[in-house]
Parts: sequence; C-alpha cells; structure tokens
Amino acid sequence: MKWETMRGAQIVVCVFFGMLLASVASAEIVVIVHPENQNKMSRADIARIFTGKSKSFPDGTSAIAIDQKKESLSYAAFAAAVLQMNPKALRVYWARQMFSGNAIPPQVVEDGQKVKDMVSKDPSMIGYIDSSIADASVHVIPLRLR
Amino acid sequence: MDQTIHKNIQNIVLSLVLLLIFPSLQAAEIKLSGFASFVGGKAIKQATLADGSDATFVADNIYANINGRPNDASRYSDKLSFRPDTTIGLQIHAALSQGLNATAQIKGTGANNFNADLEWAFLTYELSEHMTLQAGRMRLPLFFYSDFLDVGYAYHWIRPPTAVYRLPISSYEGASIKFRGGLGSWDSALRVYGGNGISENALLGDFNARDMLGMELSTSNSWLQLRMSVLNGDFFTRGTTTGEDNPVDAMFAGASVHMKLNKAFLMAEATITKINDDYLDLFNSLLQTDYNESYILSAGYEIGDFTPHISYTEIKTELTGDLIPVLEGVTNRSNTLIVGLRWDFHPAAALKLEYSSVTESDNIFRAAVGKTGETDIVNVGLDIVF
Repeated sequence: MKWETMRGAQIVVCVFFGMLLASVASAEIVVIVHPENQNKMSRADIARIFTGKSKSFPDGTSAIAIDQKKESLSYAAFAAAVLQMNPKALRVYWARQMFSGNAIPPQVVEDGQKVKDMVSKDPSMIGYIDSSIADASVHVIPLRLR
Repeated sequence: MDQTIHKNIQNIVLSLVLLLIFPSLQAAEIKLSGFASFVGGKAIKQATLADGSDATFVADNIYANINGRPNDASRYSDKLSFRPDTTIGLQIHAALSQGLNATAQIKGTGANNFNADLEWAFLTYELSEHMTLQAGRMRLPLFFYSDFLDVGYAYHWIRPPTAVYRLPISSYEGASIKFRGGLGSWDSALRVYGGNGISENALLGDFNARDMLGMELSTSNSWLQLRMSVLNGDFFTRGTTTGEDNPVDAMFAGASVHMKLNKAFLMAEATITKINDDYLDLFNSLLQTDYNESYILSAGYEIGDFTPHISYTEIKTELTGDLIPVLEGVTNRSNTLIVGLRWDFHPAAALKLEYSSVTESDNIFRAAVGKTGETDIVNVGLDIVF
C-alpha cells in the first residue's frame, strides 16, 4: 500500500471514531419524576438516591430509583454526568454495597420509554431518559448536566 | 459462661434470625446473588526454617490452622495449589415490609476444604433515613475491606494484604446501630457495634472474643474516602494460660485513606493491636507479643480495562519480656512487596496476575526462631460476580 492511500485510510478511521464519540456525547439525558413531585434536587441528591445512600426525596417522601440497562447509552451518560463514575467503578461500587449487605442496586427496566411510563404513574419514582422522549407526563428536574 | 452454653446461644440467635426470615419469604422481594474467585498459585522462593523445612505463604489467616495443626490448604508452597484463595459465596437478600431486610451469606473456601459456612445471617431494620439497626451474625468491621473481604471482584489484589488482614476472626454475633447523613458532596456514617465471636481454628483450642465494643466512622466524597475504626474486647484461647475466667483485654485501632485522582488511585491503611495484660499468653508462643503495628500503601493506574498496581506492606511485632526478660521490646518487621495486574475483560469478571515477595528483618527474633516467613509467590486468579 502506498503512503498516500494509508493516510487516506487513517483519516477515514479518525472521522468514523469521531462520529461515534460525537453520538455518545450527544446522548443527552434528563432526570424525571412524577409531575406532582416538585422537590428541588441537586446532582448530589440524585446521585445519593441512585447509589442507595438515600431512600427519600428532600421533602422526606420515599424515593425509588429506576435504572436502565448497563449496555444503554443513557446509562453511560447518566453514570458519567450524575454519578460521576465510570461504568467499571460503578460495578465495583455495587459489588461492595451488595456483598456487604448495605444496599442493593435499583430496579432495571428495558428502556427509557418504560422508565417514563413507570415514573408518570408513581410519585415515589425517579428515573432518567433521553431528552428527546421527555413529555408532559413527567416532570423534568432542572439540572445543568455538563 | 460455659463453652457449650455460649455455642447454644449462638445457635439460638441464628435460629431466631432464620425463623424470622423464612415465614415472611413468600411476601418478600428476594434477591439471590453470588461471587466466586478461582485462584492458583505457588511459591517460587522459600527461606529455610530453623527445623529445616521451607517457609510457606499463609494466604488465609482464618483457616491458617485447623484442629490445632497448620493447615496446608491455607498456604502456598512450591507445589501449585488452587486452594488457599479459591472461594465461592452465595447471598440471599430478602426485603420484607416496613424497612425490614434479611441477609444471609454462605461461603465455601478451598482453605477450609470447601465446607459451606454460614458467614452471615442478620436482620436490618431501617428506623429512619439516617438510622439503621442490625442484629445477628455479621462481619466484624475492623478494616476498610472487611465488609467484602471474600469478594475478589471488589478490589484490585488477589487478596487484601495479609500484613493488615491477618486476624483469625472475621464474623461476630451481636448488634449494631448505624447513623448516616450527607452534607453537600460529602457522605458520612458512624457505626457502633457489640457482640461476641469465635474462631475454632486456633493452634490449640478455639480463639474467643467476648464483650467486644467497637466503632467505625467514615466520610467520603467523589474522590476521597476516610475511615477509622476502634475495638475493645476480652480475648482468650482455650489451651493457653488464658481462658474463660482470665481473658486478656485488648484493643484494636485502624485508619484508612482512599484517593481517586482521575485514572490513578492511592490508598493507605494502618492498624495497631495492643494487649493490655501482663503474663498472659494468647497465641501459645514463647515469643509473646503485646503490641503490633501494620500498614499497607497501594497505588494503581487504570489504562482502559487494565489496572496495574503496586503495594508495600509492613507488620511490626513487638515482644514482651514477661516470660523471657531479654526479649522485652525486641521487634520483628515483615515487609511485603506486591505487584499485580487486574484485567476487567468482562462486565462481571476480572482476571488477575500478582507477585508477592515477603522479607523479614534480621534480628534476635529471627535468630531465635529462624527465618519465619520469607517467601515469594505468584498467583493467577479469576473473579466473578453474579
């Protein structure tokens, strides 16, 4: 292979990975609760509920976190932006919590649509979904993620 | 209290916990999970002991001795062995109603011939968001890694370094209360606990811990974790000059720091153990010790799925002259260098490669007993969680 052709191939590969990275970064997520839930919450408050450190909203009512599948883009985006942990650190964290009998991981449902359905029906639930599917059936918690 | 009575009380406590758990199981949300480590290893260098035999590396201090004899299954020698660190555990967690949870853990380890032991069986009751009560058989929370000591997947080493993680007892029967709270990006917790414990695997008779009272305080944010722990109790080993009626009063204190700096991590843990009585022999040894200090320093760096790491540990044992006056204050140091690699090749599994090298100080202690534990070992391990 000639030098020029190889360079060309390298550039194509770079552009491809660049696009892939861009699509990961653009998985914009929002944290949602039931429309009646008007709690003001910080990133740290939400992280506490999703890491089993807290089981209630700031007003004292019970909070149940609904998680998404580990393979989903939303999961990776949420872990990075809200929990501020990489997926590997999060897996080790849960192994420690679970096998010390301290806390068990949140319930996992199949996708964002299901999270939205559940949260829209139960004032104690909190979840995260891709911003593109958020609607009036849920309340989006105003948070500056990134 | 007589030994059988003590054991009966233990059994009654366990039965009560189980009785409370099982009738409500139909209504409960049950989660079954487990962990396993398959580890092979062998010594590649062994010092010669005073009696002419080779030094070995004790990987599991809980089962270092069984029925009063050194247990080969807990040690690495020049023969490849898969026993000392291989462990399988199953945990059942039942969420009952009203903040009541039941947890039980069964563990089998190669060092104990894979006999299944009920490690834990306890009830957790959440009194409020900030207060939790636990009662039953639980892990003794002396060290940072105590709570998940057997779960290889939860740390970077093959095993938490034995210089610090060396006590013959790891569980107790009793009760604890935990307070926790958050402030800004910091989360803190205080646990106070009390109870009794027993290890049937001491060199002569069983090793007993009675009337223990301990405390654990921790605080953490996203990159820093601080922890301290203290314990006081009465201890005795059947078959030594200590016993039911003349136990020794001893205390333990430990502290740890964990730091995450982007892709690097740093940790340190240090402990002190002190026996407060004279002329009492807890470990059936002419080389009586009443004080020791130990520490671990460890650092690692994540490169994708690979985590190379390096650690240095020390245990310093100080002898008493209660029996042999010339030994008063003589100290022995044992240092271990650990170099390893963890590879997270799968979301629920990690492969580990590790080399440990133990060296000991050259002094009167060693002159008296010969080189005590200088050994180099290599290990390969696979850890999974399910």
